[in-house]
Amino acid sequence: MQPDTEQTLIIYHNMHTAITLPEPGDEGEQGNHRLSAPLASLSSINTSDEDTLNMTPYKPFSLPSRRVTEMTPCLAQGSLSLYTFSSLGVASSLVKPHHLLPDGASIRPAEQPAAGQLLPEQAFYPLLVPALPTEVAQPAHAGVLTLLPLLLGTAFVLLLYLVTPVVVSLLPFLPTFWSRLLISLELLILVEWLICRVLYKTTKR
Amino acid sequence: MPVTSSSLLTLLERAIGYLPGILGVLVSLIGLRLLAYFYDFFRHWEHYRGLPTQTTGDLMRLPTLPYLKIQITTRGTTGSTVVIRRVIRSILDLVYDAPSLYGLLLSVEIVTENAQQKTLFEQEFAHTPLDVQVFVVPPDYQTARKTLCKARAMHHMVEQRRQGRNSKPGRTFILHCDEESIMPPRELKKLLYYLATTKEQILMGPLYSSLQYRSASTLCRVLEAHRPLHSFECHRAMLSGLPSQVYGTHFVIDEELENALGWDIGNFDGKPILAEGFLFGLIAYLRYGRTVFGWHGCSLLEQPAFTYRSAFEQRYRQTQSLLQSIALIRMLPDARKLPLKTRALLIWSACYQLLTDTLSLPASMLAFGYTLYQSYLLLNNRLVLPLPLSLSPLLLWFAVVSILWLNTFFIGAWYNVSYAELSRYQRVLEILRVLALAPLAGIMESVAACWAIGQWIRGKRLALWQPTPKTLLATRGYHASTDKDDEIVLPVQEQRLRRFKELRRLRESRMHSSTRGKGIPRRYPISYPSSRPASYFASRRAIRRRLNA
Repeated sequence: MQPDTEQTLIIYHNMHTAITLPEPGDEGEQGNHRLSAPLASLSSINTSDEDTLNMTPYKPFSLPSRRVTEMTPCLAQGSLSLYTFSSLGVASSLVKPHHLLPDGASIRPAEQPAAGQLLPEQAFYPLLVPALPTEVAQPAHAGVLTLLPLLLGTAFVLLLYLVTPVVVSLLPFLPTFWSRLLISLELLILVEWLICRVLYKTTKR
Repeated sequence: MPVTSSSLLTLLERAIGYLPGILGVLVSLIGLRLLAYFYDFFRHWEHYRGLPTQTTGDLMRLPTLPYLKIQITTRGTTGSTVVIRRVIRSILDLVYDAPSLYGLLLSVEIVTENAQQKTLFEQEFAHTPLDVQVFVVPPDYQTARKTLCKARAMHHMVEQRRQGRNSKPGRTFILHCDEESIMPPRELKKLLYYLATTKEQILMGPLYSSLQYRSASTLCRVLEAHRPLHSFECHRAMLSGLPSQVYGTHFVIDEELENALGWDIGNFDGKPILAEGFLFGLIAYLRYGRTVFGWHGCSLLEQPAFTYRSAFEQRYRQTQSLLQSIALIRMLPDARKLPLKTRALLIWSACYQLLTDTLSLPASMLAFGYTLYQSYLLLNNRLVLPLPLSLSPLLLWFAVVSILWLNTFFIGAWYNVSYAELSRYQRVLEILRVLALAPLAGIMESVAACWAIGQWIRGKRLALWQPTPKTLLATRGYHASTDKDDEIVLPVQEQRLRRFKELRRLRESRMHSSTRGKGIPRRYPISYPSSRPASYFASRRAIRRRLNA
């Protein structure tokens, strides 16, 4: 699963560090299936002084989409001290030196004017990645229980709106039940194949 | 004359005898629209949605590149800040690919009525290579023709541009977006490439409801499956050069043309015009003809309405705007000068769309009953010809329309889920869900259209610029507020504080629930909505009550 970059805690070198948290509205997206992720990861962060945390000016940046497979709090070596994190309420045990700055990466002050050509040199790393939902503990029958009613419902609707009308329309031409049914199914499969072919060609892969 | 049971039965039998005829008329009216849709789908799919990817290198090889301003017009209501930030970040994803190129070509202009957003966005994105400018529409701002709502804000922006604000040295296009609309980076590259190689000045593209897909209720997801139908109709209109069916968002307009025309479209008997996109297209058609219209084929992602109520109101506004368009074509002095054929085409296409939207309600209900009865006979092997043999082609026509109708949902669901962040299995589930609920959705969707027409006939033609709430929190606030026009706009800091408190309460309640069962860890992962413990929902309900209070 790809974590939401908006929930990723980011260090932007030599700028005001901050913790980007889900916005009030993001709760909409996460309310059903993802709200748990930042909460679980942030459970260890002391947010008692939430006003201070809230008002801290910061530079939120979104990372380009990248897959992060493990939750590894990390700190670009030599860029920020652990003191910074303790002042933000991040437990020092959570943070460990993880990455070296890549060759060519440089640290630039926040006051530097936004110049497009300077930015590629700046590097930013995820400090704390929200805990991914564990992939265990879903009962084995849960998938079947979700799938089965949908399959039955879809089969019912397909019978109602695809099979029956075609079979009825073939009544005057074909005498037996099975011949009507088979020819109907063949026709329908052909139509659906044509539609799927176009859909496949017009969808990103 | 006394009514006996036998006479009632006779009447019923006669009514059932008329049923195929009535159904035939209804189905035929809707079927023609579906046929046109599928004709486009099979005939013009390459033009509708071209997939060849353009790279930055491809763009660099072009002799000239246009500038692209992404204009987000918002009212600044609750929840809009979050979604606008998401839009800008998605653009930044592209800009960071090649800041010296995209930082120069792209810029974002936010037109809002909320002054707080100006400070917020301009500070937040000041140090990025993307130029983000926020323009606040003054509360007392009035156009010459007293245009209201969204068009008023857009015209304010045009006036700013006419004065030279954010002017660019070369050909410039403006991509008009809603506050939540995202054009993915690869689509933006394709758009830049297309704009660099075209002479068309008003372009549109397909819309998909893929953002926050699973946050919407099941019924809303099914309703959104109808959207590609409208996209294809818009595609046909843009190809023909007659803007009979255009939607208000996802317009890409040449800045020069937009500055020449403006958005000062006036009002409709003192009420705002909701069909501003249609009217702008019509004015452009009257002045420049068919050649200015085009189709770029780059998709824009939007998010569906979260609740049925929001979806209902969205459909209601769409129908009202369609009714307004018909009235405006009749009223506009310039439109009266149009050739009779063109005028009839414009009016009748809108009327036909209205008619089919409305007739979907009885047609869906009748068709459901009819096919249910026929399926029962089929499964019992007692199927008999429901019509005389001479009318048997009508049965074939019913079958064709039925296939097309259900496949409309299939195509819509496919497009929506293919751009949503879902696994393959989840996509299959979502498509199955849409198909299973398609009959219900057909009825529920047309209810809104019928209601809007009923209100219009009764003289209730008041329409407000009330964007569909973009977040669940905003949806709750929206539904809780009685006066829709007085939307609550909380200060940003207050919103953040509220969010922190809510999150902390939630976390505490979860931690409490996880440690309650004698130290046994929670059994189900909290990522699966259906598997959440009951205490989680209880705490959610409590939070919701407090928020509403």
